[in-house]
Amino acid sequence: MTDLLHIDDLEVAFQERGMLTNRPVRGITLSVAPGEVVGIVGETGCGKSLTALAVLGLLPKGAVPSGRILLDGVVQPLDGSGSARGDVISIVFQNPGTAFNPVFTLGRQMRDVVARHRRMGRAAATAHILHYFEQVGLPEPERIFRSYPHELSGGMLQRAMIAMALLCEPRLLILDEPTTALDVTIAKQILELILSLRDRFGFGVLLITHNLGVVREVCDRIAVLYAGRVVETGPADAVLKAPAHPYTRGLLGALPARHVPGQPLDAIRGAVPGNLLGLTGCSFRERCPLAIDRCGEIDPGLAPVAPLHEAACIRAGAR
Amino acid sequence: MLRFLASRLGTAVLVLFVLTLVVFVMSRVIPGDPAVVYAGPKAPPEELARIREKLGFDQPLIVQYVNYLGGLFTGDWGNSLATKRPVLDELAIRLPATLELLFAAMLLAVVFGVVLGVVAAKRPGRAIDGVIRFLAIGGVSMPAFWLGLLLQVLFVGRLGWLPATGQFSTEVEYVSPVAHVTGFPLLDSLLTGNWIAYSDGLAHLVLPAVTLAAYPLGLIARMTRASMLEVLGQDYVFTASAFGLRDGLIRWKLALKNALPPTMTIVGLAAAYTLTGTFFVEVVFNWPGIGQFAVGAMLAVDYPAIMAITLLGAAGYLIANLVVDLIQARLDPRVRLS
Repeated sequence: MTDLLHIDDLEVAFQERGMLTNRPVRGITLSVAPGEVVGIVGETGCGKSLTALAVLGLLPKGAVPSGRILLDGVVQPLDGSGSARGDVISIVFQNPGTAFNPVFTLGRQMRDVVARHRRMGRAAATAHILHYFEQVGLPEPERIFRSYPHELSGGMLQRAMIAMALLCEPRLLILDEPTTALDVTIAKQILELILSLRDRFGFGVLLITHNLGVVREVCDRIAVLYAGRVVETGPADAVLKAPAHPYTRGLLGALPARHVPGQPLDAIRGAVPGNLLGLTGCSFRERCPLAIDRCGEIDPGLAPVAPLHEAACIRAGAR
Repeated sequence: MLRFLASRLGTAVLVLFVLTLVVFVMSRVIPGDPAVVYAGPKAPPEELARIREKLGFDQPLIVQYVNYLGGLFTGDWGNSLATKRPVLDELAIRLPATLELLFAAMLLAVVFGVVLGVVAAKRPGRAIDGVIRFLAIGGVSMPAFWLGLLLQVLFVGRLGWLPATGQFSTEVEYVSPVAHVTGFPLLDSLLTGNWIAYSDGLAHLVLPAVTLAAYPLGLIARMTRASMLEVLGQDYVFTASAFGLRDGLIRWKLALKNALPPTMTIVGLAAAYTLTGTFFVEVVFNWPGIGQFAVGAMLAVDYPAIMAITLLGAAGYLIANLVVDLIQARLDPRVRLS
């Protein structure tokens, strides 16, 4: 079966006046099947957002991507010239409060999207949009259609944003920290909504988050990113129950939910390396409790630790 | 929206009222004896006393103020000391020409200022941006009378493309005079289908309007550029491109509508500044507006005329800002709430 999305050895470097300045994404390989929810997890600066932007063809100025991105087996241009975004691929952003244009009604904004990707009359477009407002569980769709962003709550706006993302029946939905800006109860509703919509429409989901709680709730598979690489990947259950990479273990250990009252919170010491140019050996070794001399010499690739479960660590099994 | 309008209007009326007081007090403390201006420097003392009595200067200040205020409402704004005719009449025959010039200049300034600002913000730091910024700074810093002279030298003297001064050619006033409809000469020539006068009037309008537009145009272009750059960095602009919307639509519609409200604030201020700018430009281009009259009034300490012109200028400023407020409320739903 062909994957819906296949990212093959994606690299993103930054160039200034012909000089390489950084390489925040250093060879990511990842795939999403139709109907599958794949989580990309990692700290700030691990390259997860750049990966999403590369899929959308929206890399910032000065970014030099290489590798291949295939959608339904078709290679996508990395320079953003493709017309897949907003159509075959949609995205839902972190902060619904700032993601909508404040001086246009939601209806106007959505009509622009429909007009760009579908041949549809005004009335048909309006009906189409109202239909999706209902799909995402927004009450009084007509009122929402006429509302300005500041007239709605964050939860309602995020539902509206999801409706906008669904307007062109995308095959792939990218969710960039979709619940981080929301209250916990609202966040849970939004995640449930996404899963039910996935069941109804069958799109694949690429979920970007640093929240392992969110991953546990909705993801089928996860990829843990560190310093621009996948360091561990596998079925969500397996990775969360039996993490093989010391970084994944550290992330899980740092969850406040695992915290024993009276004990200091576990944290991974140190910080993500700022510049990834000229990095040798394992990028995590400086912060790794299990690091040995050999970690400075070889940069481990992904290797199976269990069926479908891979980790990039020479001490994957060690405790 | 109505409540918004009412509250802005109420403030404007209050400001205007306070201003009458300020203008009145100022007219009484500025040096120069109006009676001397009225009667001439060689008038005997008893003649001056008679004039003071006639003009009401022998009465207490508060009474004078109340009389002045009453006159404002009943259309008696006093007589010009220089021409001895009612100030209101003097203004009424000159104001339309000034307003036409002002309107043309502001139209040029807003349209070209906004367009140049958006274009400059498209490639910040590149050549086109540099050229536009140079023009904008030039427009802002070049004195109007100097720019006016330069344009006259080039387009009248060297190229001979455009007429130098006045609002219409003298021949036009004989061959095809403008009928009175609204009192606005150029508008009337258009309304009555008087093409000879209309094209002649337009040709006369170009140079003074461009001269007057230079300052507000530069300001508006710079403000639009800055405001566009800020808006283009906002999340919702990124959302629009993430949904595949075209760059032109994003810039000229989605982003510009957000960038316009701050620009409109500048437009309001610039319009008021430009109103005073007409004084110089009208002198340079011999434009039959209130500017020349105002300059004459100031030199002659013709205080009723000065007071009237000051009030008119203030009213113009308030109206400009009221219009700006309304436009902003129209553009941004959040303004309507405040």
